Amino acid sequence: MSNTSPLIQIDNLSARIRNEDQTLFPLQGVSFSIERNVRMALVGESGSGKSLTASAILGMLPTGSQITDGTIIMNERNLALISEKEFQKIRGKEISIVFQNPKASLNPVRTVGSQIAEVLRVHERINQKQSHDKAIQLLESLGLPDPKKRARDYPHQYSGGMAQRAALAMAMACQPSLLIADEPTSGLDATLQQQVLDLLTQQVQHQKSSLLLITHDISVVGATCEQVAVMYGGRIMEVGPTELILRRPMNPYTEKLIESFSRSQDGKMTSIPGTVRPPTTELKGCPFADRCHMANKQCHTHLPELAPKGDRLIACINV
Amino acid sequence: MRILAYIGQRLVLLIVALLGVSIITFVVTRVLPGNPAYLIVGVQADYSTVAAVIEKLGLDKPIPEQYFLYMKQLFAGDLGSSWRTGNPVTYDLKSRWPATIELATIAMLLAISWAIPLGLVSALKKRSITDRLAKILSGLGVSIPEFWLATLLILVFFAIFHIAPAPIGRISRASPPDLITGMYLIDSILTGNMTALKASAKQIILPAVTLAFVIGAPLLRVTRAFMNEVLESQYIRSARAMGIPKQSLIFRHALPNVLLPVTTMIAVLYGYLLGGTVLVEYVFAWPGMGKYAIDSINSSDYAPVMAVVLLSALSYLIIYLLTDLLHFFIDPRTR
Amino acid sequence: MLQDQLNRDAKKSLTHNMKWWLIKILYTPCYLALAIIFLIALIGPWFVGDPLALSVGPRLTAPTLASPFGTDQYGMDILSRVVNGARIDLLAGLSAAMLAASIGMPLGAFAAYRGGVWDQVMLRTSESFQAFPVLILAMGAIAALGSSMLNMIMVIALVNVPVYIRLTRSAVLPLRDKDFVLAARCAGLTDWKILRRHILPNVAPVIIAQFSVNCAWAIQILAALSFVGLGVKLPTPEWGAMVRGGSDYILYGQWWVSVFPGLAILLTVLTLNQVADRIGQIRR
Repeated sequence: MSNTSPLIQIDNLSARIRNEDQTLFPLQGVSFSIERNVRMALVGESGSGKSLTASAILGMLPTGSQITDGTIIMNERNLALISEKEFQKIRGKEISIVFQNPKASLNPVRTVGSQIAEVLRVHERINQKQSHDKAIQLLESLGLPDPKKRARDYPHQYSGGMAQRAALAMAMACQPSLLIADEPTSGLDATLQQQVLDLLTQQVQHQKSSLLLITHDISVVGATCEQVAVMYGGRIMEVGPTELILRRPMNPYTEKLIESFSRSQDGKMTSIPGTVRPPTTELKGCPFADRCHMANKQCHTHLPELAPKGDRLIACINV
Repeated sequence: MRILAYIGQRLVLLIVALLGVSIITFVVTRVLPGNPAYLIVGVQADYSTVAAVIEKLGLDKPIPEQYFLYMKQLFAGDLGSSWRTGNPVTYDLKSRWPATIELATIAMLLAISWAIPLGLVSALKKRSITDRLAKILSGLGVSIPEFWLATLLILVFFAIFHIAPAPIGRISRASPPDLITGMYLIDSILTGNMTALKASAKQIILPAVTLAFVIGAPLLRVTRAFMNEVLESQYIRSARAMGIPKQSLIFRHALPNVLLPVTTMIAVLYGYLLGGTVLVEYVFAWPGMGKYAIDSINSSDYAPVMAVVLLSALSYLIIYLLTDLLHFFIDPRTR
Repeated sequence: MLQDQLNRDAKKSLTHNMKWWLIKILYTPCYLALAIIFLIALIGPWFVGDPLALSVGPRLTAPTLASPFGTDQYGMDILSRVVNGARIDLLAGLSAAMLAASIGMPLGAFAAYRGGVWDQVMLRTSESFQAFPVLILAMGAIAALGSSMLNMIMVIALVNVPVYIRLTRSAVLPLRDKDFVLAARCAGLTDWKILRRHILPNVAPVIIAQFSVNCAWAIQILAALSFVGLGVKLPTPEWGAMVRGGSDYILYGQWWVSVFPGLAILLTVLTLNQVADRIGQIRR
């Protein structure tokens, strides 16, 4: 395979959630791709579908939901179609994830070392002893002090920062080509946020993996990611190089999103007027049309497709 | 060393709880009506004979002194005598406690074997037929009066289909095995007495099934609820995201976490069963502690009631202690 | 769909919307069942014959059209007795649960609110009650005090008190240091007023659910006491006593004497437990 093809390419991905009393359409034609050895951010308000996109990539959609359309191509396989059994071999090996609360991601009744070792044994042909030794090495490479002893400790004996390292060690154990970080910094104060992001960047660079950073906070993106995709209402609104998009956003939604974060630093909180559209129906027009100051009649009736504009892709009929 | 401190602390609590239990039961049983002295010497006896018996029993002393005497006897291993059977209570209990333990253990094993798997499966397959069945069974089990269920089982399996033997105690149409532990099933295996084994196994099935159904319901609920909670936890989601296969997710990741609340529930239920399952023993004429207690209450026989209550409180507390110890080993967070 | 809507609106409807209540009852099987059971207890006896009339027909007859549940060993009509029994069992269950709640709740709330020594004493006492074989204790007490209805209600209530203490305590404890309680205290409200106005409304669903469970439990204990011959005696139409009365005939296949009153206990207890589950769900 040539190294120029993207690591993972998502095309027109749509998903539906059906529960007892209603049907939701949280993803309605999501398209973007992640290049090899690139750090990419997926940014959007809560309810935009960004976490669900991550779940779809991992084949771990919540019960009651399914992919209705579209493809997720990775290494010439369509992840939208493969079986749970095949996915088991991909998860943790080719694609991995770290969650928001690292302590809650570790099983409380098993030692940290044994949990990392088990992941290694699932994906690699090594025995009990080797896997435990390697788990200790991994913890050490992530800068955990006294890894030999720490591997035998239980999660409740870990501090938050140590748990973060352990969760990352587990996620990176089999050198996945894509690491997803799902809101890794929310709830942390600014100094800790930077530490976590630095750690992620360093690990991903070291192992030549790609990173998909999922966050609602566009302000953490700049220093970490080379690419950014902005998501709203189950669609991608704008994708491109971070510097370009942060400095000169073109989609009105991106503009508003950046504005709401930059002003909040002066102490003046601005938010985007209106509320996030609940995904109860399939889209007919632009998902942002109801809240957009530039919206015209066509915006409500015409679904904007992602189209190239200079170095970026943008979905808006007005630009 | 922490384990020793832990055990010590638990033991102190156990002794305090037992003292409380003994005081309360002593007060309750002492106000039982009917003068026991008459039961011993007969109603026709003259006043002086009765007075002599009262004095001998210490019934004329003030209540606190009576309690003190009782506790003194208790520490000497003397639980008093039953006026109804004419035996020392310890002698009576020697045959009755094993009967209750045997029934309780079989019932507990049956309950574990249906309730836990069903609870796990219903949590794993939500809204399936199994899940619905589990909901119905646990609802019924919690609500059904156990004496009525016992009566129904006798109706169906004895009166209508003649499969089960008559509800007349631990063994019928055979002589009991030579006693070693006092539990008929174990003793007949130990002595190789197949006739007794068969006969006593037949007798134990219906009462054990009754109890297993009633006891299984809360066990099922707890298993299902905690399995649900654990399956939705982030560490299971995280382990799944690392490609851990389903089998390992269930058995190595989820199950150890569910085991903690489930073992507590098992302990509570087993402790309850060991206290004498009054109603079921009553219906099946099972000569265990519960029936002993009822018969004694009906004849105003203080000592056996007090002994049964103390013994069941003791077994409850000891089982609870053992569960705590078990948790000390399986739950790293307590260490 | 309606269910969820109803649940969401439960808080509102609890206080003022009577129409919602009616719809809710009609659409939720367990509420409907409870309403029917109460209706039977309330007006049922007027529609059936005298539960104590002897030899209305032949004795121990299997169910027929004339007496759908059959007759017992005295020739009394079982349907009439089961319907009349609803009054006795429900009334006893309700009053026992009410009495238990009115003793246990204030004690539990007080223990949690005050904390310290009182809390420890209350907690340890109610915990050591857990070790008791409750039924044996209740039986001993009834045997001692005499099996009048009042005594039984008191004894059943008493064994239920520790449950309320523990439950109320654990429901109030997390509220104690909440901001609105502290604010009320700063405003100079008395402890009692804070408990009543600010804490009680917040723990109400838990307490109501527990009340329903305890009602069920009280009925079970009453029936059990009567079943072993310590509680209500025949010919009073109490369900447990009726099951006991028929248990000898079960051996000969005459099932109806025991089966119908037992079924009445099961359905009533099941309904009360389901109602408790439902109320517990609303809370979440």
